[in-house]
Amino acid sequence: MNLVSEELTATVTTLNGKVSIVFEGKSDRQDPRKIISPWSEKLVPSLTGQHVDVDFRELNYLNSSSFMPIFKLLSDAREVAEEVHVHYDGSVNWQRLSFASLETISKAWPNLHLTSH
Amino acid sequence: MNKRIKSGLAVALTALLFGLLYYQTRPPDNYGHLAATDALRNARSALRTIELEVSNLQLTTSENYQPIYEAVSSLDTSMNELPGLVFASLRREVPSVLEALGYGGEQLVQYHEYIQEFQRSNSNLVTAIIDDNADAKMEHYSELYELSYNIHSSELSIALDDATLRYNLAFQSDLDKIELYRLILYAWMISLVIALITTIQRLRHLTANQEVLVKQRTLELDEALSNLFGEMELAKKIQTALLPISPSIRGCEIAATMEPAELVGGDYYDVISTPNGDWIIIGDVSGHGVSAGLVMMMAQTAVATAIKQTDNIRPAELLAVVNSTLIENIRRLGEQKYMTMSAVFRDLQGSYHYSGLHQDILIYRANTQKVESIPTSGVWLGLVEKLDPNTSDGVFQLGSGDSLLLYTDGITESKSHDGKMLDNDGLSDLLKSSNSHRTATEALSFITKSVENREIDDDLTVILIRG
Repeated sequence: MNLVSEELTATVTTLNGKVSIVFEGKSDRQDPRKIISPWSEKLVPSLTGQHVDVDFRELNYLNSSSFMPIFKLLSDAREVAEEVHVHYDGSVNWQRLSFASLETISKAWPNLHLTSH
Repeated sequence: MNKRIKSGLAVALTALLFGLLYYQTRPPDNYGHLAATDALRNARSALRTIELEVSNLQLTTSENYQPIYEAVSSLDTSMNELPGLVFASLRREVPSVLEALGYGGEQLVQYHEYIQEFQRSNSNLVTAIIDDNADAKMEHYSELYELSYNIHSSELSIALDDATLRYNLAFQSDLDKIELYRLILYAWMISLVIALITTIQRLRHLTANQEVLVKQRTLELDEALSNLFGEMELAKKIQTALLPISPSIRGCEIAATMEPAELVGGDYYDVISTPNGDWIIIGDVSGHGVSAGLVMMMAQTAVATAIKQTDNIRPAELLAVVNSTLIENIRRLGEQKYMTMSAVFRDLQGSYHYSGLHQDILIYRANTQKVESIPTSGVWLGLVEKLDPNTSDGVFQLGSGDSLLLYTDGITESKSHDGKMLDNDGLSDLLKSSNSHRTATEALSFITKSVENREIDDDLTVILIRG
């Protein structure tokens, strides 16, 4: 159940009982919800009870409008999944700033873990 | 397409289709008509020839009769080649003539004998009249009467009369059919022409109406766009009016600018002086446009209200209050929006207290001539229901000659021609270079002019404070 759009892709694979979601490309559309939300709404039910890895390190750029549907994906995923592990590149300014908010929020969400590489 | 045009075209197409089908089954073959008329004329001529030959007593043998038989046979062949159903009845008549002639020489000989007898009797009658012989006259009269009867009641004579009659009837019937066919053809052509004229008129009418409608719609659209841009301009004015006109803080020099990416942006900054110190607020609503501008205006109102209503409110407390207001209003708007915001409070002793997750705070340190980057932390406003007001604020000092830079991502994410972002490092370099400018306003102008040739997709806000 991959996300394939003109510039943004998310590849979903399952290996050894762990679901891996790898984001690549960029998202700088004015209304990225139209692309991300329908895909994530289909994906989230399949994550029930799973260990999920979400990797943003290969993502070149995510504008502010794109973060909200991504945030909703992670928020919904951690409600159904056993555990959600987010990987991002802390050396990239926009990634660090984008996921810093989640760092604070994840303190209240015990099954959401963030790792800055 | 207009309903009338559709019906007009349907009538025209139906007429055309009907005409084509009719043409296929009954082609308007003028050559065929002429050939049929010629054939009829030839047939009648042939009959007349037969009658003439018989009456002139020259058709006495089957040998003399043969050319006439062949002529009529060839007539039959040519009649069979005539087109269409119209002449079918005519073609049926030819064999009956042949049948009548088919009695051949026997019937002609009998007919000839009758004629010879008639002439002989007639000659005898002339003699009896000259002699004034009453008995002979009576006898020859009776004889002539009987011969005349025999001649006219002979099978050949009857067949020729019948054939002539049937030819006349068939000829008239075919002429009637040709006339009917011509009328149908004319009616079809007239209906087609009428349908085409009607269609053309309706098309012209529709075209004229469409031109009027296009003009009308264009005017309406222009008016709507004008209203929309008027509203956008108004929103921009409101947003701009909410920004501080000539911001100032005690003991420092400050310059600020905001350039929205669209008519209405989502960037926000404010400078508010209170008896206890000065507030510098900067924020960025996700996305831009009218909805982002609305959230920005809500934030401005919430910030100003909270600062004025609560003495000694700390930056973290301020953001918790603003968040609770924003999250409810964003939900009412039905928008998926959030806002980055840093609240910086400079107390009367010159210490800067800050809170809120936004861009890193950049400080050019005059003594080291280096740019210090202070990361911000916390949670974006509008993401979660409650922020912890007890979060501790960060603190820094600004020395004499130091420059503090607050900004939004519009400048750090501005791209060079090769697509490379300015990023924090590039902005730090600009801040360092700007220090050579005498005033904060000039330094800010240097920074913004340095990026004006870059590709900027977002609102751009920069605040520069010199200690």
